[in-house]
Amino acid sequence: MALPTLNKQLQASGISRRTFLKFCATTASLLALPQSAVADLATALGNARRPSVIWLPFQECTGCTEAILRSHAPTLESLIFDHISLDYQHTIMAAAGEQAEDARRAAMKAHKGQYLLLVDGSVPMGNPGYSTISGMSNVDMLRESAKDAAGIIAIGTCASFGGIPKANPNPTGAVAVSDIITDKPIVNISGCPPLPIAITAVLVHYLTFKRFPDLDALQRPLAFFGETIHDRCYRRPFFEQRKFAKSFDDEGAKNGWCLFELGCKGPETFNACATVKWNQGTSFPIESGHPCLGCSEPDFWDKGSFYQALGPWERYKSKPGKGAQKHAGKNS
Amino acid sequence: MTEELIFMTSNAEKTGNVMPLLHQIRHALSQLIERQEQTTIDLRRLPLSASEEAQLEAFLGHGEVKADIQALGDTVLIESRYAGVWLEIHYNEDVEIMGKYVHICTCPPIIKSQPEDMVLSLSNIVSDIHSLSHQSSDETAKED
Ligand code: SF4
Ligand code: SF4
Repeated sequence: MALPTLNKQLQASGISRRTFLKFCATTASLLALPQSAVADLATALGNARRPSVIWLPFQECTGCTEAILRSHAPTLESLIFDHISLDYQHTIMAAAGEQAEDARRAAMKAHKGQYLLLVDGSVPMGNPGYSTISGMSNVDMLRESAKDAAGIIAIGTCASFGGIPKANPNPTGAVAVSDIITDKPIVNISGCPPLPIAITAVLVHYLTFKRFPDLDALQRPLAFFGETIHDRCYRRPFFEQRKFAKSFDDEGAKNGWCLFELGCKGPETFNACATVKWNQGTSFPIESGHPCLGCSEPDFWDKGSFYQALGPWERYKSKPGKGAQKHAGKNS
Repeated sequence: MTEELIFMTSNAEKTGNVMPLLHQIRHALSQLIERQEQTTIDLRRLPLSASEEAQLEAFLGHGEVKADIQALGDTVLIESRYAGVWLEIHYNEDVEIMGKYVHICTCPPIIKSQPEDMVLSLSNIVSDIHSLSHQSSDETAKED
């Protein structure tokens, strides 16, 4: 069953070509593609078939789903997300139980080898009964759904690295998607929750180039995870000058000084919050005076106190791109 | 078309990138005149502090043309006081800047009517004329 092209889909929704070109220009910019590629991107993306997507929510808090679905539609950022064929997502779909599972299997059959699998949440391996859908364990559903998928997008830190369910002592034996599925292209879009625009951009890249974008060693898209929060933090000049807030209400905090000594994990955290920001671009945690928790990194929950400094200042002083090199360079 | 990628930061540090950028714009303008070669500079792709960004915009200034486009959020196009040098800013519906570019060209592509939109327009205008003519003939019939 061939789904309509995105061009047809957008046209039917009254989205003008000009709006689509604007979307392509800003997405190319986010993906670090040259602006000369925008016309080609618009042609390839417009002619791409509306993708069939199966979204499996496993052991999760629904924060990832909330982050993505909260943006009011249609928005420039969610233009593509609004036009995918979301054939299964049991948290939000009207169907339930066997009816929902029938819809998932029907989509898998109709789009064999072509559908994308989105997963949020980790998979409990200790006792598969800890998390089941329609009586089926998460691991069985993942294996069954991944078998004929073209690729998998692991959304959020839980699906990417195990996340909070995996936190010590990991009572459910939680693991990441990539611990189970090893024979499919997988992109990890970590973050607790992840940046919705990174998901859109990865979908655009996949639909346009028929492959996932360049990834770091943790399988995260380099365009969003190539630099640390610290690399792009507006408080960075204060860090270099060793001007630190020592408590949440001292003079340093009032002056907007660096939060390193309050436990900021920005120097070791790869994500694009400092540039993309949250809540319709309002701010990111450091702008609200709170240190970065490092939520897009593996085991962030178990790395000591959120409010304890990472280490001596000298270790992190003026080493822009240090971490980017640490994780750089893996292609999908 | 050539382009340079420039990253924007919100910090107050001076990156020293304004002068090289202005020289690049000057060079691109001469390329446009001599070889009709267009250039787009993506201002998200090189460090520029907020004050340097303001300095760049103040230098470019406003020329004769300013256009507002409404396409899932505003897009503002300003021809700078240097003909052929345009500033393009894409906003989303929350008035958040999604992209900012300097185009060195005769007319930024986004302002042109797009062939796909024109095809749809043609069918719309045909049906609107059709309805109008029906409406007028109904009114004439009523008057009779
Ligand atoms: S990554 Fe964070 S937001 Fe997403 S499901 Fe896990 S705990 Fe919730
Ligand atoms: S330590 Fe944190 S607050 Fe300080 S500059 Fe780095 S990211 Fe910003």
